[in-house]
Amino acid sequence: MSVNEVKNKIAVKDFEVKGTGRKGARTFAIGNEDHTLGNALRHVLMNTSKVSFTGYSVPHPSEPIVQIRVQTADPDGDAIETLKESCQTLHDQCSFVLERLEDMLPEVREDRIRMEKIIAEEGYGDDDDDDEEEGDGDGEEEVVMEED
Amino acid sequence: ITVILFFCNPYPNYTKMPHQRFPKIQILSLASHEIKFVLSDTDTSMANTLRRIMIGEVPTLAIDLVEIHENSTVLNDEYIAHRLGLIPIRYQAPDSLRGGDVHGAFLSHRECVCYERCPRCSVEFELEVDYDTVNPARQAQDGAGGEDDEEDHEVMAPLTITSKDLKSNNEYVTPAHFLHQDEQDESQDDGIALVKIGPGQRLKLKAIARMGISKEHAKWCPVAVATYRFWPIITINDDACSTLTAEQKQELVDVCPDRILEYDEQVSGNITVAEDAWDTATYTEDLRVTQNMMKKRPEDEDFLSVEPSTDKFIFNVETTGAMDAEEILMASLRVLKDKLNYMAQEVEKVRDMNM
Repeated sequence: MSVNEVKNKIAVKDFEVKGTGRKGARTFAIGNEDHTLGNALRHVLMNTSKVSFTGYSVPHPSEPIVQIRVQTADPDGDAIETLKESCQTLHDQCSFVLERLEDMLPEVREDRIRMEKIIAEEGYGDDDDDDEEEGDGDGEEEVVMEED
Repeated sequence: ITVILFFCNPYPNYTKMPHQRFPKIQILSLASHEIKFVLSDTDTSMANTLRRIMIGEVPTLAIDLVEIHENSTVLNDEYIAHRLGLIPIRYQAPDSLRGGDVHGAFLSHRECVCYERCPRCSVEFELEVDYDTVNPARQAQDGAGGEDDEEDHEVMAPLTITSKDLKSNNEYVTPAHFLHQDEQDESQDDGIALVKIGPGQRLKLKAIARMGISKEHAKWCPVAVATYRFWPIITINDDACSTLTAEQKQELVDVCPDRILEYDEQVSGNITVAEDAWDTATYTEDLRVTQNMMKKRPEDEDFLSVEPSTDKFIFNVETTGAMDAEEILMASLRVLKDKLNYMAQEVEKVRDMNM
């Protein structure tokens, strides 16, 4: 669009598994990610009893790729399964913290419940756009059903 | 607690990986624009991940395209467009009291199926300010002397075009003019100043705001400040301290520039930790140096030590006004969950391919 527009490079592959040999030792190359996810997953993997070796690296800062290495302690272990479990653990930790936050801020929880009820009652489209006040279509290609 | 969780376990992985700890959050203070909280029972990696997401990956709205119809101001087009982009834009969901989280309300414009733009992926703002319409010029007076002409003309003060002049086409989306009432009371303008115009100058433009993340451009950043410090662990070895004289104890207390210790000779005769030590600690070397001078032998135990904790962090997050403070924290946790869901899907795909 403009001469000096900067486009963030997007990785070619979103996810790639490298490594031959036993199923328990694999390197996962994740595209479009950086230390944000890599360090967090690495930390969760370190605290997993199944894992004997784990680490992460960003091969080059110009490329948005992070590599996570997993080696299981059990010779018959599955590295992919271990990675999935640690994703789930981290996901549960986030859910746990969100719930504790809502406990501490009851008005946020009430608001969320109220919004979800509104969305459920009024059905489709309420959570996408909010041009409820513009009742006339104006000929715009709106995929959303407008509320009365 | 582990036993109880085993039977009605919403988190099944917890029993398989007993080394996992679940992070705890404790809110120290909460204002609409600022939140301070303590994150504990977790590692620096989690704290850093949370910080990185708050700074870089929470989606917000910001002006992305500007169509300039008329600009006779002293600033050139791209300068004004740049300033428009940096204005924080706030979305208030209908019927909701919370402000800010755009997730689910808008689509990223790359994902939207519309041709160019539509109300689902963008918000339009219009700005039209004409100095002469706001401050009509007075008629020049006839019959005055030549030298008096200049004095008869009223000095026309410059008019400031602010973010208040931006008119949105979506009533739930407005620029965040001020963080809070105090800031508004102190300000001389009605909103964020964009450009000042004088007589005969006009500015007419249409600005389109889109959703984005800060990794693409800093204008989408929802926070002004998102930092964390380590909680100080202050240990006082009472047995060793009892060998010190009162003057030595007072010296130890005074040598800390961050005032983390207290010593009351009359009341207790012991060095104690100050009430707000966790807030003011800065881990200086003064204590260690002074103690080494006081020790009889270098390998003696320390009287006091201050160490940064490895699993307790004090976060300080200030917003730009685009989102409420607690919304940012919750949105960053949600962003992390979405990333993990996406990762898990990709892992499943790869596994199915290999099967």
